[in-house]
Amino acid sequence: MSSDPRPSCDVCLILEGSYPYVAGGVSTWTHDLIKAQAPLTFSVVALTADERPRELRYELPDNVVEVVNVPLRSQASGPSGRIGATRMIRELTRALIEMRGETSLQGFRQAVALVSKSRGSIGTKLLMNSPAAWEMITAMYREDAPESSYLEYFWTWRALCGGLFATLLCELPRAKVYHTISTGYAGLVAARAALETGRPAVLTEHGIYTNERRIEITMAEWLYDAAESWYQIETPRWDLRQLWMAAFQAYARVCYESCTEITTLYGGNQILQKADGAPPERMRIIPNGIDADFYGALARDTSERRPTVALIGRVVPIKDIKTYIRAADVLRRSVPNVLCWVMGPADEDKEYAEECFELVRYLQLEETIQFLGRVKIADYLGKVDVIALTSISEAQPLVILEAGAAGVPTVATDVGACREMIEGRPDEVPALGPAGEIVPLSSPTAAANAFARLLLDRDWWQRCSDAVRTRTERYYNKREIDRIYNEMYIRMMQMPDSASVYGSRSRRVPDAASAPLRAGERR
Amino acid sequence: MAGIGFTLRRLTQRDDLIGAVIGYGHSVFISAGPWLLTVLALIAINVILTDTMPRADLELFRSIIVYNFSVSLVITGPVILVATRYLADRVFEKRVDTAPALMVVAMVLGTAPGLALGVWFYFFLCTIPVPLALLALANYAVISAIWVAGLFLSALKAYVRVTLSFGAGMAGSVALTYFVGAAYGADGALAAFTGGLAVTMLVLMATVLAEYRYPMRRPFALLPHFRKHWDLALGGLIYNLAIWIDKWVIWASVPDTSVVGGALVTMPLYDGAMFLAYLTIVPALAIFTVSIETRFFEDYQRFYRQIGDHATLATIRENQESVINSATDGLRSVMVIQIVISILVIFFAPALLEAAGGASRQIGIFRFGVLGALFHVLMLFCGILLMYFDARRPALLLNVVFLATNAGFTWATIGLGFAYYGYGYFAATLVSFAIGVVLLFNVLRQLPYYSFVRNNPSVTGA
Repeated sequence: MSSDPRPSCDVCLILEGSYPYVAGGVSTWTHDLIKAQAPLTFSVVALTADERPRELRYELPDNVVEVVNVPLRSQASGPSGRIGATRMIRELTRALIEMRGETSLQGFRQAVALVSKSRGSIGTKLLMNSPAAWEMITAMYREDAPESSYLEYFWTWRALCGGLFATLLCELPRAKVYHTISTGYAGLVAARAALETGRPAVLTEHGIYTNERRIEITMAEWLYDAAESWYQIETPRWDLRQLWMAAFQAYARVCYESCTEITTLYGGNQILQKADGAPPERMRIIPNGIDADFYGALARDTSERRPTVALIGRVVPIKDIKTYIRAADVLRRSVPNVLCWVMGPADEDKEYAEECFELVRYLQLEETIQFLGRVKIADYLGKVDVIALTSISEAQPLVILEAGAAGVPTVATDVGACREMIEGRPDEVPALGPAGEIVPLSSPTAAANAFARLLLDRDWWQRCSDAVRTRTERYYNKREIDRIYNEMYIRMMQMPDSASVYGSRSRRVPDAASAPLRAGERR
Repeated sequence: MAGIGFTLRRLTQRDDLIGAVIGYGHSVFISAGPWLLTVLALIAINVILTDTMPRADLELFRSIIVYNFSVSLVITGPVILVATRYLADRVFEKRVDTAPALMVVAMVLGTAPGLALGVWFYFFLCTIPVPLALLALANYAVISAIWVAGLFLSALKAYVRVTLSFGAGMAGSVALTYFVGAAYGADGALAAFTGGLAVTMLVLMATVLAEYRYPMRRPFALLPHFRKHWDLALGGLIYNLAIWIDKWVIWASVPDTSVVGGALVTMPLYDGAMFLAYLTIVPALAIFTVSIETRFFEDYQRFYRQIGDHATLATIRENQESVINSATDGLRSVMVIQIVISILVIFFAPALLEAAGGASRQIGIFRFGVLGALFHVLMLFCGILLMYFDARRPALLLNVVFLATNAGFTWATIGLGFAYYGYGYFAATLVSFAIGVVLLFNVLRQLPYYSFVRNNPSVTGA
């Protein structure tokens, strides 16, 4: 046992397919989080699909001390054999089979222990390409899907277990707390870190990983659209998609059971987390926050102007712009001089955008609806009376909060965190009252009625405006959210070590072979 | 949806699992054809020309031919194996437009190193006249080119045509030598023989060019494949070295050799008996070719095809059993018949040897040679089957073993005296055959593993 080395950083963030190489919502959130927690130091484990070199999409903040790249698929490496490999892989096979279903964590714990014990003397060559590995694949095939196409199983196995082995073999930065931003393979890295180091792991889920994979896999016709064959005709094909889902659910369970805290943006996600095995007592909601001070300082335009509704979002089907257009058509009857804006780029789905323009012409709404394109919403919020959000899917749309801080109420569909933000969370004390209205999906009349009430009933509008201002300031203020994360990190960092897979309380993170990428060495 | 996740498609979609669906043209023809033709030509020269020429001229002529044939087989070996593989891949892709250029490049690569060697040998080491040395070089170039052209015709699976062309060419060359050349001494004989072979070469080349009617295109496409298939190239070199190494060791070590032209050392007693012994494997080659091309090839193809057709592991295992059974049956039936033939030949050795113009002193060598040829051909079949499954490393290992044992055992048994000449070759083939069987069945036992992982470029990244 080596002596307990001082952790090289405070927080190790683990991300899959995002920061710092892919721009997007989660990446930006991560970037902001690191900057906001500035006194704390961070290392980043970036899981990528393959080994291709990637360009940084974010300038790494100074408090990032290390970035470790973990390609889930890479050229086989390590020795191709070693003494005791057959027995070790046989035990690993049992562990991986145990990972299916309720006993995921026990299985994963064994796998981590087995791989940790032989660290340095095993690699993917041994775990995936050796004769012993072949025995592992065939054993798992018999367990998982003995009636299915072996060819397909083989590639599925390589993809799934290749990623799993990458998480078991990769270099692990030393940290006082491990924070993964999804389940999946990132979740496995966090679980492994918790098991190996005895340090706490926490999970923040934005979208629910298993749910996103389920959608992806369900839509993935390609998975098994192989050419018609004699085999298909004789036997109903066992669908390997089940295997993908079972694996991702197992990975999620491992992560949930290993993490000390499981947070997500809103209550709707928690239902899915519970279904995948998250223990309710560790679950917690930490929403995203916005710069309430900035938006709160925006002045309202009280001059004589048309009553105005605004939809802030890209012109794409998921935002259901057409329902908004139809709602404007209905609204025009009760509020004839109403002005309806669409603020967002229309070039992402040109066909859909064209359909929307066509609908506007058909309904002769040219006077009512204006497409403004990509604009800085702060310049317009003062002139907007109601925010519309007709999306058919959202997570936690920040536009409700940004407008809310400026005192603009919202009419939104019942998706993602919209209801929580507009009606308040069930545990909101004191209840601040509604900040607008929730309407059914693709229901132009209901939306139009809600718009009309806010535009025509000054008293109702004022109540909603006050409620949303207070709620945003109190619960969704970025300063407050930053404090919550800081408090969580500090609490986790102060936790004593728990037993590690090495069977003692000693924290022994072996030095991995490859040199970590230091933040300072980057351009 | 957040930026998490990446396309699963990239993780799973791979189509190039089965790289070995085609037999890669590792036919008996390419492996044994040139070797057998060499043997036939040398025997014919021995038998037919014995009384037509002065003994010294015949010795000189025969020695040059032996040197040229043996060295050309060794040096073209790597070129032929790599070019065969390259051509088989192009045939599989249905993109054979580089074939004519390939043939020319392969001929240059196969001939040039030997020619350089020949210039040094015939001009500086031998004491033969310049015209004869030039003829010897020409003969070397032609015979090398013939081996290369032969591979292209084998790839066309035009076995009958190749056999006829080769047979007629060799017969014509020998006849030309017998009727015209022999009267003008060693120079005349070599000129006539080379002339006959040159016609054969031109016919073979014309056949190939008529088959692949493409302009010379991308002549250097072959070169990178020597690096890619270095194990094939090395295997080709080592196997052909191994075939000749026992003779070379004998030439270099025993006292009663024949030395002509200053440096052309041979051991006619040993060489002649060995060449004759090699002829006994012709039935085995024929039987094996038939059993490989019929039942085995069907099982072999079904094994790979059904993997692609989404067979279950159980079905794959059943098909593997069929492949093992047909390989075993094929080897066994060849073995039984060949053992019977070998026993008969050994029994009637004195009569056969006499009929072939051999000396009675050669009987011992001939008998060891026949036993050696028996296990040699069985070992060769193991090697060919290994190549069918693209098990290049085990095949290379087998060739290395054969080379080492053939050189080592021959050298070690020379001290036992003349009665044991040939024993080393026999012992070497026996050991190599045993190891070949072990290697082959080791691959067959792990056939699915080899197909999915070991030989799969998508997995190994090769």
